[in-house]
Amino acid sequence: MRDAKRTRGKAGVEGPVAGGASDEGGTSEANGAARAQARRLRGLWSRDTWVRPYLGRYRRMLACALVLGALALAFSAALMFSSGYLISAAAERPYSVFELFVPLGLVQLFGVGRPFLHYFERLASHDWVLRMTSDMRLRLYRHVEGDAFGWSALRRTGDVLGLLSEDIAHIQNLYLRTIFPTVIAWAGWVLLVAALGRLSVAYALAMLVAVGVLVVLVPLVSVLVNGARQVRAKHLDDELYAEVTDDVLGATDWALARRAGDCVARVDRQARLAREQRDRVAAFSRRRDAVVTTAFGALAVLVCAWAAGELGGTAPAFDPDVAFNARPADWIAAYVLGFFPLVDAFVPLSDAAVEAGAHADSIERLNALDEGRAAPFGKVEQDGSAGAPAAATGTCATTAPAGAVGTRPTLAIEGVRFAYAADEREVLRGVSLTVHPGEHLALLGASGSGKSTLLSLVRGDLVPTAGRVRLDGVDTCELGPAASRCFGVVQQRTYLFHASLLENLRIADTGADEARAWDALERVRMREVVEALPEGIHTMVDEGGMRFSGGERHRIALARVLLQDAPVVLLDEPFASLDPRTESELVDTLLDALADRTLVLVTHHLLGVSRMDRVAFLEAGELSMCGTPAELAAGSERYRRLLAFDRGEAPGA
Amino acid sequence: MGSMFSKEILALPGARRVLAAMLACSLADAVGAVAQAWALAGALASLWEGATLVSQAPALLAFLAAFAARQLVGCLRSRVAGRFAEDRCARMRSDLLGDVLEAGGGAVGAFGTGTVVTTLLEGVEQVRSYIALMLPKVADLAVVPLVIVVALFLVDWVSGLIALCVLPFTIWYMTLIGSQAKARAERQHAEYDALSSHFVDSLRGIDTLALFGQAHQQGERVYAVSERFRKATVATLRMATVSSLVLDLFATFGLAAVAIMLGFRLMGGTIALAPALTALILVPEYFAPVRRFASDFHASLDGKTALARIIEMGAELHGRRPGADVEGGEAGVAAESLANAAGARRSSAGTAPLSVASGAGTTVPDVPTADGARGGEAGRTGAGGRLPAWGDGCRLELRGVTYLHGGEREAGGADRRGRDDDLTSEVERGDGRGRDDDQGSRDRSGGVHDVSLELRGNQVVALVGQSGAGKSTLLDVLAGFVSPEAGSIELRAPGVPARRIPTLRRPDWLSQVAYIPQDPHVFSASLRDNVRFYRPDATDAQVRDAVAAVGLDELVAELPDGLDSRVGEGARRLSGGQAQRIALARAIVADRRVLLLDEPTAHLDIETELELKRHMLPTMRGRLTVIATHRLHWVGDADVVAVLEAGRVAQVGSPEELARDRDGAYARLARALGGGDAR
Repeated sequence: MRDAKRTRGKAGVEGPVAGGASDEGGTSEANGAARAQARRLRGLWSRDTWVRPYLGRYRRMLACALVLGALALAFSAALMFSSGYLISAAAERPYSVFELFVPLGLVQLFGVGRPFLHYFERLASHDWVLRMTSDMRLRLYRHVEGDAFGWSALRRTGDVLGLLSEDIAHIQNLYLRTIFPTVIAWAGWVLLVAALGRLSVAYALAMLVAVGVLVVLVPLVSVLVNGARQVRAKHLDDELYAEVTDDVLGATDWALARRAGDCVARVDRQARLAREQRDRVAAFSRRRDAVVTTAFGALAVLVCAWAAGELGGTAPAFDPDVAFNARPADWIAAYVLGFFPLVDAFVPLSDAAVEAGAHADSIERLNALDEGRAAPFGKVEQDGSAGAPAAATGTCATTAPAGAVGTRPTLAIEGVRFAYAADEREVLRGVSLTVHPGEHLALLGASGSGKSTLLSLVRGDLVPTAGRVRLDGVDTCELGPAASRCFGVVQQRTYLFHASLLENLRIADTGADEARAWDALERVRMREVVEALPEGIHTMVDEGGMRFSGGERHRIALARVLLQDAPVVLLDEPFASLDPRTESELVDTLLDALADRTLVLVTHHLLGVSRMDRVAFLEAGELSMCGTPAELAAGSERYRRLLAFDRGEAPGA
Repeated sequence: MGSMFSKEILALPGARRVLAAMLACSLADAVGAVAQAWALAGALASLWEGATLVSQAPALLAFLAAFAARQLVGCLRSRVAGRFAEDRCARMRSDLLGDVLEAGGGAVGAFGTGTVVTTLLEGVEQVRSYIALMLPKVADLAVVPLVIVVALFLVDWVSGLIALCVLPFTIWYMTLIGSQAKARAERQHAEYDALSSHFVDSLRGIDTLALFGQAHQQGERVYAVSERFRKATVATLRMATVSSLVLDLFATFGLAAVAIMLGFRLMGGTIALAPALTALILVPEYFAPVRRFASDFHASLDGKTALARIIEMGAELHGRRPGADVEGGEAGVAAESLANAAGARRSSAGTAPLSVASGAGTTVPDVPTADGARGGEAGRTGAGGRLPAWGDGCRLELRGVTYLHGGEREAGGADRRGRDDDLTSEVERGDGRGRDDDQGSRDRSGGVHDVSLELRGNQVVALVGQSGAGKSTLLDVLAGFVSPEAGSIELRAPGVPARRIPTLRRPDWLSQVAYIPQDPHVFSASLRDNVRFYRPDATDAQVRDAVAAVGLDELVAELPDGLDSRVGEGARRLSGGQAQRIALARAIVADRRVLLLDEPTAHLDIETELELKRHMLPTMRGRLTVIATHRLHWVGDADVVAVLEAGRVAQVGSPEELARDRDGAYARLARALGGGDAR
């Protein structure tokens, strides 16, 4: 139990970071980690299509944001600069205020201007980043849309989609908190060097190098040294998260086992590992910032020395006959004081850079989408039924002629075989079945027998490896988007969107008016329930659809199918989580509401089955029993036994 | 401003000492700032007067020394605050996790798995950064402006006056942030959340959209909504960032005002250059703490909320620990009846669990507690001692047991599964890492009322009834997950005096029980560790026997590493039937004498159900087995059947007796459940 949980990282990002490996902090290891981190970031940078290209979009606005930011920085330096000059010049005791008109005006300009520049910079940069977010969201959405069913199957193995959506938020932060401040600080650096260069090229070059070390080299080293640690800490945190979730889900068992202490101790150990990493990161950045800031203090002294050397050396005259004795020495304080606001922009760069390094996972994940590999999500072993994205093996052109399928089509399954991958076990091994218009078919079988796969094949979401599925002679896999006009589906879990109930229903038919929606609700016997809601049909459905019970959600799904008006309705174990009374009522509703449509009901037990027209048993990918309920009850010993068991008539097996 | 810093932090052990250290650091920092300004201004003024650089070297070195010293103080300070935050939060998490695991799933369900996990990790982390960030900031805010303003008055009273005048505005403005701008910022936050949830919503429902042929259009909608929200966000931002604009303005306005006033007075010769420069350098230092304090405002809000939630959850869970409400005075029947007389009147205040507190008003036969679990040690070794081990000849009598919580209060511990779903989806929303769970039975909505029932030795007892009849709640009472609000429980074992206890929620009962819900949790660990979970020291032979007994040997043979193969989340997922078998094997390995099964097979396909039942039956023999179900095929295997209707026992008897009574509750139930097919 103890170390059993180690290997379970969240998103198995391939790379240098061995999740959970305890870090001894040896220099050689640190070097190795830093080098690996460097490799990784370089690779990421060269392949990236999610961060860099966006810097080319809406250039005007981006430039605007950056220029405003740089100006704000320049203004804060200029405010101190002009104040320093103002005071020094005033100390020369000029006759009248007008002598100091320009510095006075500038102090006021910079003092008032800086906050406004900063304010507009924030607005512009946020606007730009949010524009990018819209673009990225659409891009991510299109990716997911491209393989909708694959992704929804993957959903069962963890909330990958939520993760990806958060990744976009991380990229927002990358722009706002790393890229922009860095660019702006570098602009400040350039301005500084230019200002100094006007007076002394040698000093300007010295400053170019000295500040360069502090704003380019140090952040870079920080990313490599601290970034690796931070990534490790993040992985340890992910493990901790998985571990604690597992333990809380099993809280009852811990309580019954009376072993809570063991668990707390183990979690504490794991938390300590993550904490050690975090402590190291914090200690490093603490010390680094102290050293870097002190170095800037020394640079300030250097500026002072240079200014004194260039500009100082003469004493003030205080000559009442001369109107205003402006001297070069008045500029000394200006240069020195003007330097400090820049320091405030330079010092945080290292931490910002490290933070960017921590987003590497997110960028990697998003980039992996383009390369068509879902590898970073870690393919999880599955029992067979759910396929990973892009798992379809066959190909099929979606060129079905519109209108080829009639309003009462016949569904023909002809010798269908299917395997999720060429080298995997066949899930279906030659299934043939014809479902006549208006017929109600129940499909039974143990989990893993291929029921759900067969449904996906019927709808044309999967392509058979052999055999055909045809609807009025048209191969269903050729239907493409038209499939939604032929098939209505009620899934095991009904997904309700975070929108009003009406909008949720309108997904089935965007043109449906309220009256039709009410009609559908009436037919699924939801009218009273909905009428009792605070805002009736306009009530917002909580995300995840939790305002409604399981039975009600299925009724809503059914109402959608009614609105959709598709001739064939497929139901994939819609009752799996309902209690028998609700289930029985739902079966009634279902059969009444869909009396005239073709129905394929996948179910795991026999309730309601006797009211279907035909029952088919799927066993290990083949049909083992098929017939009307009456035929089976008369002819099949096994069916009779199951029926008796289901009704509680037979004592045990 | 006090509202921005919670008092709970000061209540943490050691907090006052750390805060004192923070204040000392802030003081040192402020003094350093003054020294640094004074040294630099002196050097600059002398250089202005034409002094040589060399003559000013000492002053410049003094400046550098003060500058460096401040960095050192800063280092020290964030280290002390960081350590303190880490230590406190590690402790907080351990305590809370301990409470969660002691209290068990029922108590967790009251909050929801998702909320508990989020609180344990993200909540604690938010509190950590809140403490680590806020302690230095608060100390700075209290000390730095004060020291600097005094220094300003000393070097130049006019500058001091300006600074002093601007500060009230700043503080007034800060309180404004605290009330009005906060609401605005929160709205902005909410809007942003709505935006990302719309997006995630569309991604999660992608298959539904595809099924209805809406997937492509939805993409355009996603973009449109995102753009609409961008405009709204920027609009709100325009307002929300006004707060920092104004703060900024105060600061730069203060600086500009000081500079200009100094300029005029220098011209008039009423002040020398050195003090003027000192004042100018000090003014930004004066405003810095206020600006820093305002900058991480959101983080501090989150931290405060999280801290409150942790404290609340801890208090609630601690009360729900088994034994928390009984440990102490439980004794033999004779001793207890005395105690009951006193206990009934006692209001259970303080650390008493909610279940008791809200049960007040009815006569709760609670025994006087020694205030929570801490007093437990003494009590456990007291007159009553451990409960006898269950075995043949033992008898458990429930008398008038009532537990209505589940039915009346949504947050009740008994409403486990239903709530869990809500909160699981909440986690998915919140952090994107939640579990994708199917909804389970909602049977727990029903409470039980005045239930009397006798369970003997190694009987198999079936609790049957419709959904909401109270089967699961009764099972919770028997498992010791909840304490009855009224009624009593008597336990008799051969050769031991009868024991009357108010609840089975006690460690020495829990350690005899195996409870198997509809979807047993399979830990992410090896199959072996899962099977010997209740008894980690079980031998290999014991594990293998149990595995064979429940028919898992086929699975073991199929797995690459046999018993050492990892199962559960993140590894090989097991089917519902397999999870049931693992839970059953756990009970066998630990030889738990009381086996409680809650609807173990209803969600399985019928053939798996049949197969599983075949393996279950032998395990059920030789223990007290209580099985709550609406699948009537279990009835034939039971010794005693209790039919529940609306929280009450409507009929009890052997299966044969029940079958004979054509008008009884059982017959009614059979008709209702079979009704679907009969029509």
